[in-house]
Order: sequence, then C-alpha cells, then structure tokens
Amino acid sequence: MSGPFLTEVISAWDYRQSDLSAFCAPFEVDREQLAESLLFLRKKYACRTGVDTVESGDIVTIRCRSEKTKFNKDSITINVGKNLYSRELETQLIGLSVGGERDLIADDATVSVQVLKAERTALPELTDGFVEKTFRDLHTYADLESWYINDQLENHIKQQAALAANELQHQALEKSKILVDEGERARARASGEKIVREHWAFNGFPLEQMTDGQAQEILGYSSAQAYIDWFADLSEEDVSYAALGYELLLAEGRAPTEESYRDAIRKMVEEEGVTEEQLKDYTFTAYASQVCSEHYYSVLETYAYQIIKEKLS
Amino acid sequence: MIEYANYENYNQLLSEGFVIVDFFSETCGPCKVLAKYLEEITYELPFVNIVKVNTTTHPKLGADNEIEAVPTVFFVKDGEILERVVGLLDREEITEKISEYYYG
Repeated sequence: MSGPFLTEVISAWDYRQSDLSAFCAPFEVDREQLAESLLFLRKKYACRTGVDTVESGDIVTIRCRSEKTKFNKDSITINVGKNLYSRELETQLIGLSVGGERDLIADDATVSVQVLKAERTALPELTDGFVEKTFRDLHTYADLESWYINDQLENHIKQQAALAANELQHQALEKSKILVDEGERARARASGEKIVREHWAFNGFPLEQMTDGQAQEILGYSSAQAYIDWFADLSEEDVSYAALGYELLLAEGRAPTEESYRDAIRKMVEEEGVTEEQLKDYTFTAYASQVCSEHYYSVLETYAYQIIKEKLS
Repeated sequence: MIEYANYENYNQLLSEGFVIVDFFSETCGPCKVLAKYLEEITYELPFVNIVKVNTTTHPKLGADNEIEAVPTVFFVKDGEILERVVGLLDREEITEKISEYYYG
C-alpha cells in the first residue's frame, strides 16, 4: 500500500535509464515566426503623431450630430477605414481637416461632423539605437534577434520535454510493477467522467447532446463517448502515477499529510473563494492523488528538459 | 490600452466607458491565442480599454465573477456587463462585439 492509496508499488521503473534521443532532433530557427515576432514588437512600440488632414488608417476623434442616435456623439474615436462605426461615414472623413466641420450623408442620415483630433501611426525601425534605448540588457539588433531565437529554442525544448514526459509516463506504467486497487481505479474513472462532463456542460456543449459530427469537429474524437472514455482512461492511469509520485515524495520527506490537506482546503476556501459544497468530493485521498500524480509528471518533465537542453544547447 | 486587474483596482477599471475584460490563466493555450488577438487590437484600436485578470494569481476575482473556465471575456460598458463569452473568440468576433457595444 502506498501511503494514502490502496494501490501498491512493488517496483518502480528507473526513468533515468530511458533513451530520449528521439526528442533531441536538431533545432531549426523558424524564420517566419521570427519575422512575425519582430513585426509584433514594432507594433507594440508604434508611435502616434498628430496630423492636420485625415487619411485612411488614422486614429480620429470626431464630434457628430444627427437625428440618428448612432451618429449623435460628443466624442467618438475611430480607426478610419476599419469600418467598425460606419463605412459610409469613415470613407467621407478622408481628406477632412482637424477642426473642420462638414455635413455628410451616412446610412441614410445627415450627419454634421467635426474632426477634433487625428493621429497617424508609425512603426519604429529596429535599429541598434532603438534596441539600446528600449531594452535594458540588449544593445544591438543582432542581440534582439538572438534573444528571439533563444526564446524559440527554449519553447522547442519545453515542448519536446512535455512530449518526452508523456512517453516516460507510459513506459513507467509498462515497466513498473504496480498492484492497482480496483476501487481506486473505479473512483478515478468516475471522477474523470464527472469532471469532463461538467466542464463541457459549463462551456455550453453538454457532451450528452453532442452529435458525432460535432464531437469530430470540436473534440477531434469520433463521438462524445469516445472522448469521455479517453479522459476516463487518463484518470484511471493517474492512480498509478499517484502511487509512483508518492514514493518519490516520501523519499524527499514531502509526502502529502492530513495537515497539508487541511492547509490546501483552507487556502482554496479563503483565498480562492471555493465553496465547501464544491469541495465535498475532495477527500484526502483525492487531494493526495492529485498532488502525487502531478509531482510524478513534473519530475519526468524536469528530467527530460535537462537532458534535451544539454543536447540541444 | 491593456491594464492588469488586482483586488484593489478591478471595480474601478470597469466603472467607466467601454472595457473588454479577459479572464485568463498562464497555463491555458487558448488564453495565449486570445492574448495575441487582444494585443493586436490595442495596436489597431488603441482607444479600446482591455483589462486582464489572471485567475491563477487572483483566484477570488475569478470566483466572485463565477469564472469556471478560461478564457472568459466580458464586454462591459460603464460598469455593466453587456455580455460574457466563455471560450476563445476569433479576431473578427471581437471586432464585431466592439462595433456592437462601443459604437452602438
């Protein structure tokens, strides 16, 4: 028996014996993503300067008067040409001067418009000077580009580590010797089903009412039941991961206890606003199971991350 | 403009004008996609106020507003929630809501 669980670990597979070379393929810079990131940065630091005459794309504040409520505003701001306010009105704003007043026809109404303010957006050039002025630790454009490439590499390593951790979990199930308690297995399965049904009901897609076509489109599964079964299978596997995680936490002297359970409950109620009604099924075993299975995944992911980073850096 | 809400400023940030409120968590994939859309909107429509609420660091704001899934987006005018949407909105859907609520 592993601590709070009836499931017992007879022998745990040593994940450090695994071969992670499949997750260490050479990293290649995604030039398209890099260009997108740099453009995004320029947009973030865009400057707006006042102009006298309105052009398409300007940010313009107008006052308008009309019998139509929509066009009777003391002050309304528009990105001219986005046509979120009125295509007809925005088209006629082009060429108007700041301060000028004019009667326009838009959406079958006469609108008296005065341009209060007009600003034009300019994107900064990513020069060495811009980088030096904007970032504390970067000095040149080359530094900036390297920073983004390192960021891509870091994300790539994290993604590979997550994939590797999933693979290691499956290997651990196959190669460890675990006596799974049927009661715990059934509890985990039922709990997983309940969670997934409630989640989708809240999101406005009750799984009970989902057609096979919708399940394919929204969930990527042939039917809602196939998706529920997949989730329940994962929850069932969590019983074994929890038992394995418990062994690791116990060795570190950090195994979940009744005291840490009470602390977690107190925190959820006082700091997170969770109600006692919502916690009625959250028993000590459910809490310990969550903590231990998350710890097991985290250990595997950290291990994989270190190995992959060492290989790819 | 994007501002981050906390327990002290939340009500004040929503009290005046048109505001889009984005309840998110850092570990949620669709939240990251929505965050990018909202940042693009601040470039194109800098006069639209966006308030972001991190439900991991400010769980009580999530609980008080009955947020049970992220992302959840509120469209608010002068403190009144006009619409709440659970799940990812695409760029066009967000601009349609702006057209309806900000200019309507």
